[in-house]
Amino acid sequence: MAATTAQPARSGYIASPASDWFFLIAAPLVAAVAFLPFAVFPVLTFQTQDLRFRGSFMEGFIQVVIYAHLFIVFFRSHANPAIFRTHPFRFAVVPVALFAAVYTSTWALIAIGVLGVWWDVYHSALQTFGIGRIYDLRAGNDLEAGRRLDQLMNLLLYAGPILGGASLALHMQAFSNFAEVGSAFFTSIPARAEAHSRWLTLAVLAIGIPFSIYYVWRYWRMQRRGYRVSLQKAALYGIVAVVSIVCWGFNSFGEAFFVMNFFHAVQYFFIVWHIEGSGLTQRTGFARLPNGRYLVLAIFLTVGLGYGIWTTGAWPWPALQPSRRGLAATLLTVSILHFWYDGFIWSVRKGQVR
Amino acid sequence: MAPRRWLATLAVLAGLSPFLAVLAREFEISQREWRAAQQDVAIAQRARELFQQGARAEAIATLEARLREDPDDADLRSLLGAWRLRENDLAGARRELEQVLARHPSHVGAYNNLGLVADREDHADEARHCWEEAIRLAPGHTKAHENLGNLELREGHWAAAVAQLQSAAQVDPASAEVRARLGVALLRSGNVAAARSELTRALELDPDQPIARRNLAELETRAATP
Repeated sequence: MAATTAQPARSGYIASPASDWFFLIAAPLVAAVAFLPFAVFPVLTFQTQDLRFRGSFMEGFIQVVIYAHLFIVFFRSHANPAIFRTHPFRFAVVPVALFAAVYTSTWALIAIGVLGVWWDVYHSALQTFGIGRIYDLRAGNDLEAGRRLDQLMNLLLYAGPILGGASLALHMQAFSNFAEVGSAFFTSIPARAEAHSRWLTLAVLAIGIPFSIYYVWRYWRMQRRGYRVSLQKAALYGIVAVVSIVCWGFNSFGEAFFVMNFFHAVQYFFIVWHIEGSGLTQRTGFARLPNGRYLVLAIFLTVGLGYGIWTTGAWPWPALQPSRRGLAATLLTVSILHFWYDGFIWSVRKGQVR
Repeated sequence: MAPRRWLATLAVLAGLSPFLAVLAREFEISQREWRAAQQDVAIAQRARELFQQGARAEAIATLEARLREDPDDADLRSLLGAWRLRENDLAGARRELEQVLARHPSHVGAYNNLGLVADREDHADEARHCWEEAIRLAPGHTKAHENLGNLELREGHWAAAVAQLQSAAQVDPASAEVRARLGVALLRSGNVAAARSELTRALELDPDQPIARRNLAELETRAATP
């Protein structure tokens, strides 16, 4: 463990107290409140083929939000020259190669699709971890202090309730697509996982409870040696823990997928805009206009959500809708790039985020 | 500070406006379809009551009237098809169910009912195809598994019958008839111990289950014969 000597504290918040609490720290609770109308009004979850959204209004709504947040990674990876210069091969060549692979090979499409489901879980856990690290930095703590502990705790908080709870089958569904390419082994994985679900629950509890105690004990010791506890980080992790266990673990109202994805997307939209907003305004020349920043904000949201709408088919220009295969390949390519890029374009340790 | 907040709010609203427009349109469709579905539920309930009370012609007329207003209503048309089948109007039932599947090729209930029509017309291959489709679309569809199991049993395909009836029994473990037919299929395939267990279970669920009674009695007789 690295030294835990605290540096002089800055403001503990990333943007401002109000926006941090609404868009980051309490975002899981905001998402739970946003789910309420869908739980109360059956018209919003009514399945009908007449919608352009596939399934129900709620499914379309959350699909737009999810795919929109996946797309806006490009505002940082490709629209920020400083970031683009760090890995030009990954940003220019890999997307084309990945799209070609999933477009031409059904095996690649299905295998990478399954990878995407589980990478999404890992990536979502690490988003909360990353926000927590920024709060630690803002509290004046050493960048390495408690880093590994936080990483493991976030994986446990996010993946634990999935593996040991009611949402395991939801995450295993993608394996059944292997039936299309005749792979009996992979197709049988959901049934095997279901058969062992009780043991998975016990394993998660057996690891999770002692680790949580160890986590608190280690932070208590670090605090005695000078580590400053970030209220924001503690609140964020606490709220995510409760919401993740309630949603992924029990999914009593069918809320898990909506709530967990909605808060993740809200946090991401906020972080991307907060960090990239000024740079985008400067680079696009809108800084010369009075209030140009707000115009860029409107464009930023329109582009992201526009892509989200395009993925649902509820798009006013059917001619611009690709084939089913083309759409599937695009969605998967963007998703995988989002999960991958996020792993190295927001490094607090490398000073990419302050 | 205040004007900046207003501008930020306006910018967010402007950015969200295409999404809000799409949501408004989709909500309108959802609401319209939801109301129509609620109306259909009420009509179907009323028609079912009439059908159960013996006023079958009136029940069918109620559905026909609603379908004249909304010819694409798959659930009501499928119900009408099922009732025509019960009235032995095989041609009428087929017409309704094929019309449903032409517009809604994923309608599981219509596939199951069309399988019954084909079975009554002695078109075993078509019946098998319909039930296989229903199972493909809804893997836990008890009736389709049960119907397909019964067909395989009649056709002498014991192993296939056992597999289908076991699937049906897994989904609906409290059905005495499924257990009884599964017992018969097991008996025919030579698995006497498992057959006895299923037939006994069927009688536990329904002591008057005729298939289970007859076959269990036959087993007992066979066991007592030296």
